[in-house]
Amino acid sequence: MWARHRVWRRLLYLVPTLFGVTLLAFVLLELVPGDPLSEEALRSRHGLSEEARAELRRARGENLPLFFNLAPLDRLVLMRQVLWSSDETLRRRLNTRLLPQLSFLARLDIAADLALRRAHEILRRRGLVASDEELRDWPRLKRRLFGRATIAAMIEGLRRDDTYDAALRRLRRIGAIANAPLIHALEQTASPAIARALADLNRRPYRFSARDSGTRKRWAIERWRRFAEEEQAMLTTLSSLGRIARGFSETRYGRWIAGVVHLDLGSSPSERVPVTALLRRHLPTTLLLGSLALVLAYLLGIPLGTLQARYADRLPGALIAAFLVVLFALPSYWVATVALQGFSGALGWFPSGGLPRAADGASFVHRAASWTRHLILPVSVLSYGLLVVISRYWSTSLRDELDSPYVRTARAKGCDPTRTLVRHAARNALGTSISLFGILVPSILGGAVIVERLFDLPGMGWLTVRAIEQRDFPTLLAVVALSAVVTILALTLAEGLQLLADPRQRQHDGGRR
Amino acid sequence: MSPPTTSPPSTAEVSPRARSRPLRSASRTGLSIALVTIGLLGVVALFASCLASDLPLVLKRDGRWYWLPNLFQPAGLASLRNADLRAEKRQGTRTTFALFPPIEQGPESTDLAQLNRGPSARHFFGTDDVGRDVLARLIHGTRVTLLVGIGAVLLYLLIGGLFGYLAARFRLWDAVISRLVEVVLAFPAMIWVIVVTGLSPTPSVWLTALAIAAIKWAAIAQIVRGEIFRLENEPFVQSARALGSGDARLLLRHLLPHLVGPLAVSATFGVANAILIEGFVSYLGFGGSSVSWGALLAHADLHSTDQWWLAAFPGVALFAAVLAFHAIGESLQRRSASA
Repeated sequence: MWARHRVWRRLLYLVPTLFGVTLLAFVLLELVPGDPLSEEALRSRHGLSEEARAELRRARGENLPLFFNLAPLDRLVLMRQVLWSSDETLRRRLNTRLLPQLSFLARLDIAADLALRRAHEILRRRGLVASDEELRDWPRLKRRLFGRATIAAMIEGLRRDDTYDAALRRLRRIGAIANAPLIHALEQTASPAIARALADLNRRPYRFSARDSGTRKRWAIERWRRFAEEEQAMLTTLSSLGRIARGFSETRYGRWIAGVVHLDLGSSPSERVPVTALLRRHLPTTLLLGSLALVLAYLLGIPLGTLQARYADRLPGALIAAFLVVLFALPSYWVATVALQGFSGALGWFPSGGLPRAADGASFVHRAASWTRHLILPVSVLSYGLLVVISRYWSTSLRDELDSPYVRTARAKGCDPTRTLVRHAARNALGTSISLFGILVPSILGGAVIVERLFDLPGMGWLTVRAIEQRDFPTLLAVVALSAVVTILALTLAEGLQLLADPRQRQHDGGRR
Repeated sequence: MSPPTTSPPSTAEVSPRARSRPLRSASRTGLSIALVTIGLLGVVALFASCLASDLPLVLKRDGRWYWLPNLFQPAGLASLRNADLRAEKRQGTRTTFALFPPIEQGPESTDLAQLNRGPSARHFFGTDDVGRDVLARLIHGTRVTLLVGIGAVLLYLLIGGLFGYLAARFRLWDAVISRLVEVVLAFPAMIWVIVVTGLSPTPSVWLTALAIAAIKWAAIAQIVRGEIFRLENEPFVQSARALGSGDARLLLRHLLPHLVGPLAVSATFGVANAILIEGFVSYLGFGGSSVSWGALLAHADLHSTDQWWLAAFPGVALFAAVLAFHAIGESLQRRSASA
């Protein structure tokens, strides 16, 4: 009962933790100075123009804020702030789209004066005039200033060279409200002049000339259509709750998480392949390496720990303890260097790193031998550190059991010491050692970086170092977040396994932990 | 090795049995060797510039005394080396007195007559491919090792201690800090540190220390929080509170003395771990120091033993430093377990 409760609570905590982990990985890589786009531009032969780079950045959503986007909340926030604010820069953000709301407020008694004053401000800045009467009556004002016919006339003006400038000036006065009819007209006529006017009004580079190819034209129109949709979605159709949700989703982190849910981690700029493909290529090596190392460490560590517990406080136990201390202090990159120099360089027993190439027609035995030869050194180097941790935890918990009354009773009844150790003590000590692999996972992942780098094995650690060297941000983000997620899942799994293996753990709830 | 996130439990934890006398004396000898090693490393780090440098410690040249020119690099002696001054002294011209450092070559200067030579009387630990003295570089690398090792640990003890205390004292902080600790603990330290240092446009020794501290504080915060929760139920803390001790007094007089034990154990293992991490960061070339032991190790050829001295000496140095800190950690752990 309690156990189940604990597992559920653990799983529930998993959700915020996973978010936190990905967020932290994301922030870490965002904080790093250096611009992935300029790196890319340096690499590409022609380089990118400033305009094209800005366009690329926008397409990737890199102009979005990090965690929270205020734009969808704009009207709510702006209305409140702007009405009562004396801050000049804030008031400058008022645009014609707010006029309907201001007009509505002016009809109510609350803040009517303020609303009128702000509405006049907006109009004055655009060089337009309206009476208080008109401002209170939005449909009338709309007809006069922003009416369909008025805007249609301006759009018509855009299409003739001699009236273009005058029409653009008038459109600029109207402001953001003109975007929707302009984009509609662009879709109807595909006129370069309208695209140019839109680009001028909104400071975006989606323009084309009459000589441009059809693809370019279609691309620009498609961009404007999407722009209109975004504006529409942000400003009109959403409920306030929807806007808040939108405030989270229309951010760089939100987009990335949405991609993760769809198994789209972006693409690696240096490799020009999706990051998921890279992970699929490199993950198996690390999994193989890590699991082999873990198995080897358990296979050697448990007997060693048992011996140490059996002969504790005597010479064999002390020798094993000293051996483990020495082993634990050996830097694995040094051990790897020496092993490569000695066993593969000087003696030539093992290959000098890498994985065996898939040889066609080779027999199974031959292939197995080749894999063994390639993996023996890296797996040993990765596992000796784990071995130390495992055997020490194991011997400590075994000794706790050996010192407990029931073992003494068994011994007093005349049980064989070895039999007592194996049948009684070892069974009870098993729980902690099973769950140990959970806390070993970060060490395995960290150690894999070292081993894969030195033995040139194309795994996740190898990928990490290469991604750092090539400033491959999407890949790094995926690797860092994945390693943290794997760690958390392993810890949770270990805890669950421990509950299964050890009934004593289920007796009492952990309390405040 | 792959640095585990936790220090391994001691072999001698909560054992009611006494260790036999020869074993106890052996472990005591081990501890003193470790302490001497660390003291020696500290001295080498402090006096690195006097142990291996391009200029003498004291010099009288053209009738003028120079004190510690190896540190101050006076303009009058620019482009001069120990060897030139030694020749001058032998001939009795210009230089009349010189006290030379034990290793007469700085970490960055090159002996072009001795490229890729093994250990010899001239270069005790050999030279690398451009004729730099391995021992001189090793001596100067001691600084980096201890600086990052001890600096990072002090930094994260401070951060972790503060956050752990806040979490233990204030319910609201606890909710936030505990989640944050859980999140930070999920990152493999090695990956985190190489990403931070590797992406930085200006890698430096301090950045490495900072990166290690930024990931390792969480474990300390967890220890401090747990210990304070445990101690708050102890009679002596409750009676101190009943007698009207304020938060500050309680922390300084009653809690802190009990926190020192577990924190000292964790810190000594932490120094060893930070040294290992720094070594690999420098091995990859992200460490910001060309004389760090890891950076020296990176010069070793992975495919032959022809230049074994390039790998052997930095590796042994790393191993000895880590082993010494581990040994001290073990003995502290044993002591706090038996106390």
